[in-house]
Amino acid sequence: MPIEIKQLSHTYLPGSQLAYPALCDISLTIEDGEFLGIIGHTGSGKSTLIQHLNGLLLPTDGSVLVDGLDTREKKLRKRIRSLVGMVFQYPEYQLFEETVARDVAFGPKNMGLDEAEIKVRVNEALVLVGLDPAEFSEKSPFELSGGEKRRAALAGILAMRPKYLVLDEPMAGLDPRGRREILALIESLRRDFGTGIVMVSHSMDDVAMFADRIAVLDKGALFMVDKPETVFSHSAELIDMGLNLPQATQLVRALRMRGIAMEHDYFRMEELAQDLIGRWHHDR
Amino acid sequence: MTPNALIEIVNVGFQYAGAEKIALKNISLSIQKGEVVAIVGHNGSGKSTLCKMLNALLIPSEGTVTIENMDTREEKNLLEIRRRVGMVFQNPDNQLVTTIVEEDVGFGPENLGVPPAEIRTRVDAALKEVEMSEYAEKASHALSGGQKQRVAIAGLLAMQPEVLVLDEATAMLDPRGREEVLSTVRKLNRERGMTVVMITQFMEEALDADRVFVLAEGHLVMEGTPKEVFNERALLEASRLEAPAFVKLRDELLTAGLPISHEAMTCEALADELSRVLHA
Repeated sequence: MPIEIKQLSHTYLPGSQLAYPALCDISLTIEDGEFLGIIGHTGSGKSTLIQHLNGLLLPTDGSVLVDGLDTREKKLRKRIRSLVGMVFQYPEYQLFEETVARDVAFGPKNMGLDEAEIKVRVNEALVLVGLDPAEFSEKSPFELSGGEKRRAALAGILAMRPKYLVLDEPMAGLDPRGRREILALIESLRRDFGTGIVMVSHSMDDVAMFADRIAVLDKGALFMVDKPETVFSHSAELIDMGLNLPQATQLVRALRMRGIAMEHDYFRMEELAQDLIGRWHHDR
Repeated sequence: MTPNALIEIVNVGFQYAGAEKIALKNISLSIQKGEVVAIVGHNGSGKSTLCKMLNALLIPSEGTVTIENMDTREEKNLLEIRRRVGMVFQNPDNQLVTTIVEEDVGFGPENLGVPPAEIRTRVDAALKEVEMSEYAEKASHALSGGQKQRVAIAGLLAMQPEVLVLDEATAMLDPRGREEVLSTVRKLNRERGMTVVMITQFMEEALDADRVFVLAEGHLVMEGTPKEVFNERALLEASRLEAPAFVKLRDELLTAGLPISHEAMTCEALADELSRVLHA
């Protein structure tokens, strides 16, 4: 079953002078096993939207149903939170335990699982994120490098085996290889376990790489939700919103401005490269 | 010693107290007045440690760091070094200290004991430089990330520094915020000859620099122009980095036989080359 967002509106501090409408009439269904990218500039409502997906925020109007469970129902919230894993920006700032294993165990423990099951989950999650349990379990989270800390924090969420994983800027601040590793990990969760992925990112290239669909938020409204090729064919509108384009799409635009007829709005560099190479051979 | 170097780093080593690993090992480099340099490196490579040496937030365990011939180890130099070397950090929310934009910009010169009338002049000029004049009386918490970083830069300008050090100052910003900060810094360099040291995880940002330094595991593994550095694809990969996307595309096209220039590294340069080749 999917996550259904129905006519969702959210106003901060409603009824006060500071009332601020952050989301307005959003309807969107996140399908099972889908990889949904969310883009939008600062203040467009991305963070407000994703905090509705596990009931951290509740709709001012409309509803959010996770596998049919309404987030407004207080007694369902624990179940909803075990279905939807939430990874905030810079999640490593939330590491707090004395050892990596205990930190990763925190979520499963709160779910009320028994010791043996917790141990299985912790090991499984550490292996998934590429931290060898034998080496890392007993280390202090604060001895780890930046990239390792990020992965340990992610393991803490994966140990709850969420059906959906919601990530806010999961690659921010990582080096290029670290970015690729995290992105590959997220994609493998979807491929191997059918985990539904909702990823917020400022990097259009990262979103374009794996997303099945992209939701574009602008000033609290859903501007569009569609396949990457359709979204990035609206380049002028995206630029107006303060977003940028995947680098391949930028080059397509630059070529068109120089009078070269480019048929497709490529968003992946490999596909653009093949087109250009083919075109050059053809011209000869 | 290099003549006229603004920043001179000689055989610097550093180890954090209680840490097993050495954070920096035998680093020597110098930065000239008016230069834009980028320092890139993987997470944990020592970039931020090196950066904190530039205004004596950290003192080297070995070797020396001098700013206009002032040694960072000498206590008496500290105030003057910190005035000359302005730092912008990653998190826009951690750098503004007061609630109103212009008060924040005036905070530095006030601490330096600058007379009030002069502070007013400096604050107005600094906000103008970063194009934030109209926000002078606004609440700083309500600004966007890019605006906050520009106010942070204005606060440094008001102290009339010689060099701006940006420690991943764009990492937490959206594309528009990043561009605001980068264009502000480029303008300060172009129009005022401001020396800029940029530490970044975005290889594209390093393309604008005069020189790029690459750190890996605490060692300086490469230095050169962006062109020299980003052509060393294998060495970059070994340092957990990669060339900018357009450099990689250019190389792929060159390998396929397209007669484009080896110099093209940006979207615009590559588009120029391709329009020449594909029209012909």
